[in-house]
Amino acid sequence: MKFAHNFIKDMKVSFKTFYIYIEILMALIFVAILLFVVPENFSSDINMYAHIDSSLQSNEIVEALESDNSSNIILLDSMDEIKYMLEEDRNSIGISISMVDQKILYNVILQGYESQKYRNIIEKSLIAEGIKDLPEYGSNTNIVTLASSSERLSDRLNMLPIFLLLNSAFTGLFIVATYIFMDKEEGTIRAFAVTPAKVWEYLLSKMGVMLVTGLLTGLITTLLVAGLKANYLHLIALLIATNLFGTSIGLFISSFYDSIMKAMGAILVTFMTLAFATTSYFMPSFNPIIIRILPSYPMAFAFREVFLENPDIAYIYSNVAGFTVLAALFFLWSNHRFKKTLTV
Amino acid sequence: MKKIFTITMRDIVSSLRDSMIIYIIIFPFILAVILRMMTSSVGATTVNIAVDNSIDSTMVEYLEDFGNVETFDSIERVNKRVNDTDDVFGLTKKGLTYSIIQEGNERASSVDLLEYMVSSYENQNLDLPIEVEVSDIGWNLSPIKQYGGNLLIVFISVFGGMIILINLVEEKQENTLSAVNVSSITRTQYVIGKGLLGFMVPIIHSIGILAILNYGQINYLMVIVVILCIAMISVLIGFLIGVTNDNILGAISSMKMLFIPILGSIFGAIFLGSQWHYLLYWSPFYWAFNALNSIILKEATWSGVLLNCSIIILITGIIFALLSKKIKRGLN
Repeated sequence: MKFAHNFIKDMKVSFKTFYIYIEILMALIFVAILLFVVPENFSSDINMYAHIDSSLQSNEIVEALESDNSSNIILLDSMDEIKYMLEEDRNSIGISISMVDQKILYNVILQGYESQKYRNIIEKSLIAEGIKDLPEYGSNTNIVTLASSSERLSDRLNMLPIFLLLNSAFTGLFIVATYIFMDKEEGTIRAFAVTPAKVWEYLLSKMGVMLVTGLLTGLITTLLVAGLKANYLHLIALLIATNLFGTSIGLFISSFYDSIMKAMGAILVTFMTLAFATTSYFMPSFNPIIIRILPSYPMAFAFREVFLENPDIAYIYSNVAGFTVLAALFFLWSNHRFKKTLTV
Repeated sequence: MKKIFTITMRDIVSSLRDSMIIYIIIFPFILAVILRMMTSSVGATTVNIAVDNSIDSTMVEYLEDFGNVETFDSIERVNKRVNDTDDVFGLTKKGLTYSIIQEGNERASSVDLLEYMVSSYENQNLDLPIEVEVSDIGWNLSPIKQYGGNLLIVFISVFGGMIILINLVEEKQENTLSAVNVSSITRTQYVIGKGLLGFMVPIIHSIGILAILNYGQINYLMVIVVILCIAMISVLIGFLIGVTNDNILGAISSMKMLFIPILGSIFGAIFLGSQWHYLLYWSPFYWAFNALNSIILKEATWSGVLLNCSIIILITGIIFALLSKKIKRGLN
């Protein structure tokens, strides 16, 4: 009853301070950007500027170069033109193909920032392409696909899990400290101290407001961007667990400080550190252990599962269970700390 | 002048007392160090391979020339690794046949690369009908470093405005803002004194970030000019949010809103084709990103930088004209 009273009071404050409207507006702006600015799929093909010596069959070579479907071949008249275009387009590579001593010479021209490993791959790929038609060539590799129905999300939809993570799941991490210190500044906490209500009820009502905000922004955004291409049951379960976790971390950090100014610095550092998981989300082959141990890393991928036709249920609910338990632990710890400091 | 510095110093001392300014000053440098570490790692890994003990050590050594290789003691563990969320391919050998294991949701061309490498290894004794030479044009700046540093600088420029708004809201809550109104300090002196921090902080950040990321001989004077211009908009927004909000909750969430136009403008400038850039002309952050990009690429000219800056000032001026009454009212 006391919790319900506190919760309703806190919800009123969030409307009165326009906080909740701002969060909804932000979600709608994000939806507008996704729908009207971000294309359904980005073209990630790179341009390959090529010059092919006139003594060679250029059509066959272009076909061979295009076989891996990862680059657009643009034919040019000279090596100088290739170098000029490489300077104009820093994401591109160049290739000059000529005949030297009865052998075809592939001269690959890169920008200079590419790693040695990348250079080695380019070299071996061209060699493999060049030898596969030889009679003595032996291919003894086969490709096994583990998932029978793996699908890739469109680039637009692929951005949605990051919004759900940073905005809806971590909304409390960013804001809950502000709520608590605002109560302190305005003397609400002193008034609270003389009521029979418990500290945990006070903190839980803050978590409730953050949860409502997170669910509201997460569901509005998903509904408008993904429509029916999301499993809302899994999404709600995941939003609840991750939002509670984010808010409990926010509470825990706040419990070490006595003003918003002090707490905000630590919260910003935590938030930005957690946000680094997004780099590995967008570049799955970049996966250093320092990023994989961040809690935001499995969260981002669990949100992605929500949009797949055949989601990995075990992965989603192991995240739900794990973050719910962690949220409970951090909440209890924060409660223990706040009992000593909240009304000071 | 002395009064202006008194206001600025008062804000610095107040922020130092709360350690906020220390976080705000140091944090961007930590981000720059992380970005620097990341840019070197991103270039180093191109394909991740998990192998079991059917793959001999010579093959493992060979594969390490192309990517990151992890060794496991059973095929089940290789499969488990492949099924993890990141992009890793498995490789195992039965008899003379290699099996490349993929989860199925990786980039289509990535698996071909591993197939090429394995085929080349198995056919390395063939008399090659081709020769491959790899050279470069000496451009060492990767796109991730080029855009990453630029994004960080423009994004961090908001922090100056954030300090101003937090200080203003605190002054309102403690009623010191009303006290200033009856002191000998003029409104202009007060605004300049408050605003100075919003210009100083981004300049310190941008120079530090550029030095940490080591872009070589770039024109720091041009950087300062661009930062001063973009800081104007952050300071203006800091003042606007600070004076229109009586509580820190509304102020912080309003400031959070600012992240959308900043990130939207920058990602738009990076990912949208140039024919769509006119959609971003309204954003001062787009023009700042443009100017900084040419400085980082060492292609900037003073006329180009000043043109970008003039547009930022013009947009800031229009916003100021629209909002000045609201700010004045809030300061009263």
